Amino acid sequence: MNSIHDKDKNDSSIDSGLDSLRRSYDRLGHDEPPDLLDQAILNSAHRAIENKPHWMKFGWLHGLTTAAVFVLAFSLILNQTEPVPDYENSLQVAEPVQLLREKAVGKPSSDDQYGDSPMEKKAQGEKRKDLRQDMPAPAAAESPVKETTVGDRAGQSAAKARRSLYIQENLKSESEGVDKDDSASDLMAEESPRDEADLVVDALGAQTVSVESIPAVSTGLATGEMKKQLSPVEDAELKIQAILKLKQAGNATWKTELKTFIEDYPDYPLPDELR
Amino acid sequence: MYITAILSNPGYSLGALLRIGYAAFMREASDEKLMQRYAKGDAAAFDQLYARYRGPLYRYFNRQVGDPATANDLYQGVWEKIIKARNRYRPTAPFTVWMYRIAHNHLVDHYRRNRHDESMETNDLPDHQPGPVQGAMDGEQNEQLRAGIISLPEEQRNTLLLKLETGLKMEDIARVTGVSRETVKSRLRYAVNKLKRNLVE
Repeated sequence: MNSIHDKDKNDSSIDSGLDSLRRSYDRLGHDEPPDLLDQAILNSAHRAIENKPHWMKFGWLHGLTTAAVFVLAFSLILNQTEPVPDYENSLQVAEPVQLLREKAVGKPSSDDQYGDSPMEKKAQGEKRKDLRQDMPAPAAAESPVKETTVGDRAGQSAAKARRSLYIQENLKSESEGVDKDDSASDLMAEESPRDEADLVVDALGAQTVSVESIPAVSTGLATGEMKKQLSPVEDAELKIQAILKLKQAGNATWKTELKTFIEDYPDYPLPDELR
Repeated sequence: MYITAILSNPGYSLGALLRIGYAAFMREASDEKLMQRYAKGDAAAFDQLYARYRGPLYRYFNRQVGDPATANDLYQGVWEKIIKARNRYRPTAPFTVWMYRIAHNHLVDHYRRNRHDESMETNDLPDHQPGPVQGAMDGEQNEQLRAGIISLPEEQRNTLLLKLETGLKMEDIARVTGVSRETVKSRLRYAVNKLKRNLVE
C-alpha cells in the first residue's frame, strides 16, 4: 500500500515536472521538414505501391488463366480412357489347343455357369451322370496297355505338332459356327473333352490285344452318340489313332480304313507311320 | 460537421460529395487502418498518415541531433524504412509505437556510426537563429532549453523527446526503447531535473 502510494507520488512529481517543462518546450516552436523533403518522401511512397510485379498488374488475367489450365487438365484426366486390349484376337493367335477344343465343344464360360439357376444345375448334373453311364468304360484296368518306345513317342510328337496346327485352324472356324443351344454341347460342357477323348483312345489302345474288337470300337465311335458329341477334328483324330493301333497290331484292314479316312478327310495331315 | 457542410451546400456534385465523405472517413480512420490501407495500395492513406506525423517525427530527430541536415537524412531514412516495411506491419501494437521504434533504432544506428561525434559539446551546437517573430523575451530561455536538451545523455534525451514530442505513455516509451517502465521513469526524472536546473541557472 505504502509502495503504491510512493509510486503514485513519484509519477505525479514526474508529471508535474514534465508539465512545466512542456510549456517551455512548446515555446521552442514547431519545426517542420522542408517541402521538398515532404514531396520526395510522398513520391517515394507512391512509387513503392505502383511498382507492383508485372504479373500482379494483370491479377484477374492470371487467375483466369490458372483456372482455365486447371479445368482443362481436369477434363483431360476425366476423359482419358485406357485402350481396351483385344483379348479375342490375341487368344485366337496364341490360344492353346486345349482351350480351342473347349471352345469348339462349347464349354460355357464361368459367367454362364454362375448365371445358371440351381434347378438347371441339378438337371445338368443328372444329364452328365447319364452320359457317363452311356460312355464305354475304360478297359485299361481290365487289360494291360501296350507300352510305346521312346522312338515311337518322338515320331508321334512330330506328327502331333503338325496335326495340332491343322486342328487349330479347323477349330477356329468351327468355334464360330458352334450352336450354343445344342444339347450335346451343353452336356459336354462340364466335362473336359480332352479327357474323354483320351479315355476313348486309351480304351482303343487297351483293346489292341484283341484285334477283332478294334473295328467295332471305331465303328461304334463313328456311328454312336459320341460322333454327335465330338467335332470332326476330334473324330478324325480318333480315327487316326485307331488306324495306328490297327497297323501296330498287324491288322491288314488299316489300309482300307486309311483309304476311307483320306476320302473323308483329304486335308488332314497324316502321321509319318501312315504315309 | 461534414454532414452539415453537405446539407448546407446542395450544389455539390456527386463526385464532390464522395470526395468529402472519403476525406471524412480517412480523417477519422485510425493510424493502424491507414497503414493497412497503404500496404494494400492506397496512396491516399499514406498521405494522411504522413500528414499526421511529419511534424512530430521531424522534431524528434531535429532536437535529438541538433543539426537540420542530419535530421533531414534521418527523417527521410525512417520514412523509407516505413514504406519498405509496409507489408510486414501488423496492428498488434499502436502505429506510433511501431513507427517510433523504427525511428529509435534508426537513431541508435546513426549514433553507432558516428560514435566519435556523440560527445557533442554545447559549443558545437548549430547556431539557432531566432526569427524576428520570436521575441527577445523567449529567445534566451529557448536557447537554454535547446542546449539543455542536446546536452542530456543520449538515453535521457531520447526518452524525454519521446515523451514531450509524441505524448506516448511510459509503457509505450518502454516498448519503443526496449527498456522497462521504471527505467523510463528514472530517465525522465533525471532529464527533467537537469533541465530545470539549467533553466533556473
